[in-house]
Amino acid sequence: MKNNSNDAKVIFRLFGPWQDEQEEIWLTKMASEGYHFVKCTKPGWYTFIKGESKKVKYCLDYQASASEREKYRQLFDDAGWEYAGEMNNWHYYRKEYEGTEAPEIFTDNESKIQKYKRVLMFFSLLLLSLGVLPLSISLLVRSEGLDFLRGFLMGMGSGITLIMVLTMSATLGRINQLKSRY
Amino acid sequence: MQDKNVYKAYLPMTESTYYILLSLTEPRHGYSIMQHVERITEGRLKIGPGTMYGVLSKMENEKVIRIAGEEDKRKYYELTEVGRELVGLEIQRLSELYRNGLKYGGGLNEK
Repeated sequence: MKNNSNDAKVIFRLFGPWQDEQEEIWLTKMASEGYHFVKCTKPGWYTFIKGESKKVKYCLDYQASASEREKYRQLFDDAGWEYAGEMNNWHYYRKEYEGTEAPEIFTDNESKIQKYKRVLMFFSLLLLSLGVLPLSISLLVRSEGLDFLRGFLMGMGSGITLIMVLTMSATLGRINQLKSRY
Repeated sequence: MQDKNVYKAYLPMTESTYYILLSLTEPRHGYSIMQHVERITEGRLKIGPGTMYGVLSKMENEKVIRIAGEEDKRKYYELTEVGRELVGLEIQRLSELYRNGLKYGGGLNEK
């Protein structure tokens, strides 16, 4: 059965990997207004369903490997966290408040730092394979008649390198911020 | 004797490390550790499942704890010999802190 269009809401929103806690706050606020996150159809496109206002805390974990997530699934289930979906390796969990204190999946700085290190690990792979590698190929290939390909590789390589370096610096900044809190 | 590094890395312990290891004097699975810690600290110390999982994997790699068995997809952990020794050393350290607090603290704890 299809939902009535009045009951569903689609919002486009992007966030950087250093902004996951703002993302949690946003989804938590949406739930308090009665909009419950259902899924992301495409990166950045959130579907919500309208229901009753609920005090639910959303938390995000970053895992590029599905087998790793499988290993801790039982623990999250046991602790009462419902799996709400995935987007770009971010895994969304939610849990209803029991009292006034917000439930959290990460309760110390060390585990938060580890989460951002998993982000950095994956982004370094992207930087190398989609940024540095095409850029190096475009600089090394000298033969005539491949100008279009060279131009494409150079454009893509430098664009991705720039985006990845900026994203990774901001994520490193977040790690340093957490480290200084000890 | 175990590699000296593990003593350096674990002593003195953070509060969560101490309570997690203290819970593993008998075999428990992740969620049962979380509940046990929350109960014995009267709700003061809560450990989230993401943090719990990270700590357990790390401690298992460092051979401070080991898997005691598996039941209904839940892994049960227990202390290894090194883990038991670390907890013992930490209890001794904490007792010294406590004794000296009483002895030299001029009764500040009673205010």
